[in-house]
Amino acid sequence: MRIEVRAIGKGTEEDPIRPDLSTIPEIVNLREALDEYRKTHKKEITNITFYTLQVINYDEKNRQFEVEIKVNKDALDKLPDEIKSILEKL
Amino acid sequence: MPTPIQGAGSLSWNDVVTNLKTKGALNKQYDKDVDGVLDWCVLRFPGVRQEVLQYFNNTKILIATSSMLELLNSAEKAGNNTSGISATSKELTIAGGTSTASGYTWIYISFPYSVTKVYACAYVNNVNCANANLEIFAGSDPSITPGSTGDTRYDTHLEPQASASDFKLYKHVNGTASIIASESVDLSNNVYYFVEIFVDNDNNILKVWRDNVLKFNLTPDTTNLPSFTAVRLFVNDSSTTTAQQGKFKGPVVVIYE
Repeated sequence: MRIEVRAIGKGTEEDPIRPDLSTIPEIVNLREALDEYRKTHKKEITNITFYTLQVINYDEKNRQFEVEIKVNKDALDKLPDEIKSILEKL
Repeated sequence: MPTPIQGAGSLSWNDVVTNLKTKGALNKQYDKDVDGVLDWCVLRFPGVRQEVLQYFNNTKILIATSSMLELLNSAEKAGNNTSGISATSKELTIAGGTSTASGYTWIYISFPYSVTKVYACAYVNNVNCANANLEIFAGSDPSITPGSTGDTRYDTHLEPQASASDFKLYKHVNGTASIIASESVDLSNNVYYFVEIFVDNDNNILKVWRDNVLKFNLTPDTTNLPSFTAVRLFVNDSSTTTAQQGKFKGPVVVIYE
């Protein structure tokens, strides 16, 4: 999907300009679910791509990004149900 | 009068030669226009992703080695802790800072002139550092302090300590850093990942692979990064209490045009 999100960050090495993903509920939910999974299972789901994000356009004046998010559908069957159900909504 | 060749109907040897030159035979697989110049795109070039070769017409090699001793001998050192750079034939180790100071440290190999097409690959291991990068530098001075005017580059950013976005592509323009692509994935510390980047400003291609899978496919910023001057292997130590390291190993291959 392609969406517009605001930019955050000062442009330094440690705080780069980047899309503010905290405004995308599905991504917030995914992060929370992954944190919960880490706590509960005391391990990470490693080396499985959940999604990729690419910047299509950046409006510097209005600090607005147009981004494309692609869910890795091949990963769905490898994921626990609680993560899979959230990723399917993205 | 040419003698017909047995089993070739009425073809003479000269006819066979003419047909081979114009219509081709097995050689046509490697020389499409049968002009005597082999086509790069159909040849195997050790260590280089096959699909990028079709974009090169007059390929040059900056370096192609699996000996990190050779790599280090061919490179220049820069950053906060150049004494923390060492190599064996197997691995190149870069300590970004020290046990009491954070810092950025890197090695670089410059192209002999500015180029518009670069393919680079290396195995990258962040060990315990904040991020370890394979970078294509576009400014005039590859030793310039990160964040300064003139710090212009693409950097593939291996950052296992990040929260589920452990592989990224940064663009830096005159010291201003931005993330232009990211992979939502949890990677592990102290594991080697194979990273490849290909930028071709002539054909508007910017691609990044991790472990042989295409992760990012973008349009390059030809306005701010019109040409490239060096390839860098970069380590960021973000700690003031621990000496953080990153490692690299071969094959390290860089071709350009």
